[in-house]
Amino acid sequence: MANNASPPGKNTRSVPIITGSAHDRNNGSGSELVLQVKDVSVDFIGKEHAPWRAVDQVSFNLHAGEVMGLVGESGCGKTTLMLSLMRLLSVNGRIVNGEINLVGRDLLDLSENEMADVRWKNIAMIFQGAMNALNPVLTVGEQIIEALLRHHAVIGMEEANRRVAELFDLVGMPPSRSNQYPFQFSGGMRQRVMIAMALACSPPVVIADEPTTALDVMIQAQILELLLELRKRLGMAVILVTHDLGVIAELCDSVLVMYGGVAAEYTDVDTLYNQPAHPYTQNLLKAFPDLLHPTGKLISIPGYPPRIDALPPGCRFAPRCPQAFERCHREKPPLYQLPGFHQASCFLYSAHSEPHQDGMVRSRVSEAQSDP
Amino acid sequence: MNNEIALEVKDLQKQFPVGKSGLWGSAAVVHALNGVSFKLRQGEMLALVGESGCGKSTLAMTLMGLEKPTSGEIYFEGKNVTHVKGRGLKEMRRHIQMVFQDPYEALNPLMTIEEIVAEPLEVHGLGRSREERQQRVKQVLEDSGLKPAENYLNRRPQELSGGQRQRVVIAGGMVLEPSILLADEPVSMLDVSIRAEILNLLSDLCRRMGVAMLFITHDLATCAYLADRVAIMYLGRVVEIGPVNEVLEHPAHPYTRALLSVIPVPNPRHRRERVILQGQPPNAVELPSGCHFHPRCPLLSENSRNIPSEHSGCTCPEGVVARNGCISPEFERCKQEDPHLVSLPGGKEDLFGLHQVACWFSLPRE
Repeated sequence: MANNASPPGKNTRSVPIITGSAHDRNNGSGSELVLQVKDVSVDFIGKEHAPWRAVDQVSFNLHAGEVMGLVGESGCGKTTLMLSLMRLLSVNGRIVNGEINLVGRDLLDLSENEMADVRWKNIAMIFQGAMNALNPVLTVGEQIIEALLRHHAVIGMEEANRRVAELFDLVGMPPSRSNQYPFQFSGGMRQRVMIAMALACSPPVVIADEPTTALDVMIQAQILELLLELRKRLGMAVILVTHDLGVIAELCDSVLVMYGGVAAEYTDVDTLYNQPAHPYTQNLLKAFPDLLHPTGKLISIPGYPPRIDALPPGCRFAPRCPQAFERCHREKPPLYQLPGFHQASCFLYSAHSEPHQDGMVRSRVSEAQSDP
Repeated sequence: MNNEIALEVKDLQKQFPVGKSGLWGSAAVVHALNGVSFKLRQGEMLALVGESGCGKSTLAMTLMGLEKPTSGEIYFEGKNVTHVKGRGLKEMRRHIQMVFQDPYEALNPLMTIEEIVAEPLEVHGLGRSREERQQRVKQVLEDSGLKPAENYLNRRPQELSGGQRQRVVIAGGMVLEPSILLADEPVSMLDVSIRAEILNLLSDLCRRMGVAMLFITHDLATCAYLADRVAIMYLGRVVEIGPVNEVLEHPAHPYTRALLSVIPVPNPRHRRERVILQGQPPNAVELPSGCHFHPRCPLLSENSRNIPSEHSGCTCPEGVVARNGCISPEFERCKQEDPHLVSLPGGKEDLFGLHQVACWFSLPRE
């Protein structure tokens, strides 16, 4: 077990590939846009209450080979947004408007059958908690083969087995372990199985939802190093969902900070850590222990994140915000465009910047999720 | 802080039997603790850091008397409490309390907050009347940041957020005014924005009330803010211990250095070279020979590659030879002989200023 393939060239970290404004990036040189999420809103409906808005008009762009960090506290809508991209929301979840353009198609226009073809082939997800995401009564090899055959990525069992061996090799596990059951693997190994499975059909976009939560720092480092290495070798784009600001700083090119279902700040990783604009980001950074500068006390953000059934009327962060003024409690701030590739939804920037225009908003209440 | 020792652990060992090979075969043994020794001064905060499976939680269980050690001794305020039972154990537990990891599971959902926090008082027969106990409960809830306490007394855990629940757990631990608090990963289940206030609360409470805290965690970055001293555990043993700044700034054990290097730093301008140890910690059923860390030791694998095969002389850095004898060329010593904790030169004479490390290769500070 100690001989997991060591990822070569682990000390070469690519610098952020994204510079310039969001618009430059769209027209931009080099890497192509693979995923475009526009004004996506998600409601959870229930008989006893008005719909709860879990995600409110979130937009972002993802380019080939880009690693985007999605950060926020539990309940801020990170996982809901990611499940919406996969169209895997629970039965009471509704994508009420927006567009999810993946390699030229709007996923929200697809039927359930068409979506099943897209899932895993064009967009795959590494789920949180690998033990619960794997089928305990199938060997891990069988589970990967299932995905391969479903998408006609291989013809026949011989080729399927060869591909499984290839994938195991890729994630640094001995191929002989593919005929073992999930319980025979340790937490870190199970996470590697999940990664191998997500890569089975070589999707251009991989979502990793808290892939290292509940793992030790050393195992976490192994898994993250593996993700980076695979990104480099396969050129896939990765969305890394986490609440760990340290992990984001180490791995990501761009970062979307969510709070209470809205995008609080969206920028490149260097700007986020060195010139954070949104008071939530600023305070979150102060609350995070930094090994290099352990001076003074950690500063916590007073209060608690908003509950989905009791969202504040104005800015979602206003009740906890040290800089909140009257308007914040009354009105929802739009996303303001700051210099460079940098957006923040905070009225502090209303004086010297323009609200960010993100294209046409289409209502989808009638069509979304209506197929069986 | 004074210099009285609140708790001393000497060469603590704990083995768990697992499975049996055949009818007459002997049971295999998991070596959860392999000779843990340390001292905890009154009112000080000692962080115990290590990967899962290194024995941190077994140590906490053993200190609480929930598991009996296989060998070794535990001294509480100078008294040997290794084998206390019955009334003696109960009396000891009054002074050693625990804060558990998961506030969602540690609280009984059927009880009100008042009942939860008052329960330890009733168990130990403290407080003459219900009123007196309620007074104490209110006091400790407010100390734990649940103000005003009246608003919480009749609520149940499910009505509280994670951070508030952890405050209740802390109140339940502090209500007996213990002299030692064991906190087993007290914030790992909480959101980042809430963590800081719980850590600050624990640290303020302990300092104000002179309670010594053993803070069990896998997060070295958090210790830096909180602890006075830190002990790094590997495979059921302390491999490095010392004042927190000393250990974090001048880590001497290769394991500590690797752990420090993989902690993500929240600034992309400070991406560092990471030393990633491959594989899991070796299993505690078959302990490696010699230094338990040697199969994963980066020093050993790097240096042995650099030694030309025909070379037979000593390639140890100066200073190592003087203190530990020659280790190169084949690192035989690491593979055969178990290193003990030794003090690094240059540390303070005071027992609590000492920086100790268990590594044949430990270098004097540059």
